[in-house]
Amino acid sequence: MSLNRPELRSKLPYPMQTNPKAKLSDVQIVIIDDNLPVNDPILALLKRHYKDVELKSSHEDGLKLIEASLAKKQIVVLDYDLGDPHFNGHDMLIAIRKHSYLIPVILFTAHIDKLGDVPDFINNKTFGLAAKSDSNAVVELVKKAEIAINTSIQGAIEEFISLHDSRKLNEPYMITANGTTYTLQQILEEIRLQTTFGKEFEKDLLALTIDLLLRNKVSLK
Amino acid sequence: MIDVILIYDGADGEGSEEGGLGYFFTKCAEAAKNILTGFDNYSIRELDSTGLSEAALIELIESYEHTDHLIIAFSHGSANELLHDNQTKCYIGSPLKKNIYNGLFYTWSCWAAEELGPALITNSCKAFIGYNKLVMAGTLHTDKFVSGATHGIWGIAEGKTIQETFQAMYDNYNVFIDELTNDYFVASLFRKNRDALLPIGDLNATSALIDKTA
Repeated sequence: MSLNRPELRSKLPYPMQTNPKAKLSDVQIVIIDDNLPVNDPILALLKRHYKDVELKSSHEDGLKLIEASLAKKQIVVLDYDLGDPHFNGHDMLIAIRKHSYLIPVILFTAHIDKLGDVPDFINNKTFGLAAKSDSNAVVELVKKAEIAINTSIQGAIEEFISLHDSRKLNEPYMITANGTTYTLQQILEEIRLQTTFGKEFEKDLLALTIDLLLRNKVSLK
Repeated sequence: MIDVILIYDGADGEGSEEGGLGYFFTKCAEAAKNILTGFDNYSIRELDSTGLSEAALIELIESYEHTDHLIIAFSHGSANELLHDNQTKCYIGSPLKKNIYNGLFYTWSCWAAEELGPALITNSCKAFIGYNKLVMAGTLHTDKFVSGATHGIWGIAEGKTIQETFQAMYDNYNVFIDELTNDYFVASLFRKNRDALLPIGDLNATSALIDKTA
């Protein structure tokens, strides 16, 4: 089915008001679903907004791509049922969180009312839940997740650190009071894993920002 | 003449996989000596890691005919102790030996202003400048961290009050924070150190109170 046939546009689930000249976002979208067809409308909808939309039908390939893309901004759309009786969306979420808590993960499922692991999904910071049948809702959640990435202090720290060349990332950068030395790479990992040190680091950066604003050293303009 | 006891744990971190702050403490001690030797009336005796212990410090203090020293300490600390030997031993802490810390006390160490500082004041110390939270050092901009840690020694040596000395240190930290526009991470460490800085005791005290030639 071609999207260029006007008589079919009204049948599409999403309003076709997107400005064709609007710049596509650089955020990588990784969809992990073992039986989503490549011509599923959700993919077409996401490609109207995002340059890089990757569909992975196996959780192993999905995780490999996520690991390889840690230096990029990415959002994961994850099917709960991955077609493997021993590994479902919840297991995949845990696997992703071993690398980073900063990647928004949107869970979508045909059986939203049958999810039993809701508290654990919340505790492992699922960004949102959506029914598979509602493509618009999935796209809206992805766009919200993009805003969250772009406005978070963690995302800003991650981006700043990632701009350094790899040699600098692995040089000693700071020493804590108990003599532990951290490199920028280690600080990045602490931020991604949202450890006590990572959260304290963010807090200190926010405190600095507030201090600079109060002393009129920077402005919000 | 003002008698200074300069304490620094230059061996901190030796033999430890994680490393330590010994290098930084040594740089701070060198900077302190450089500042004070620029003034005529300071006599410095050092106690570094090799000889440092509570007993050694007390013995050194009691070797003088008075107890009005300027004690300067660069080491790890906790709320009620200053620590050495990879933070396993205390060289000043509760219970304090009475009436031997009657001068001015200046330290760069974590937390010591929380309980040790007030305990020293209760124990007849005239004034204390230290930090009441975690303080940080960077592996970059070491000269600035050393300057931040030792800037107050200028104020004391120049005869400023403790309050003036504190303010000068605070303003000095602000200079570094504002200069580091291309390294906000390090600037955030200076902000942390600045906001943990605390003067305690007689804020009008000056080094004249402990000058034996005055």
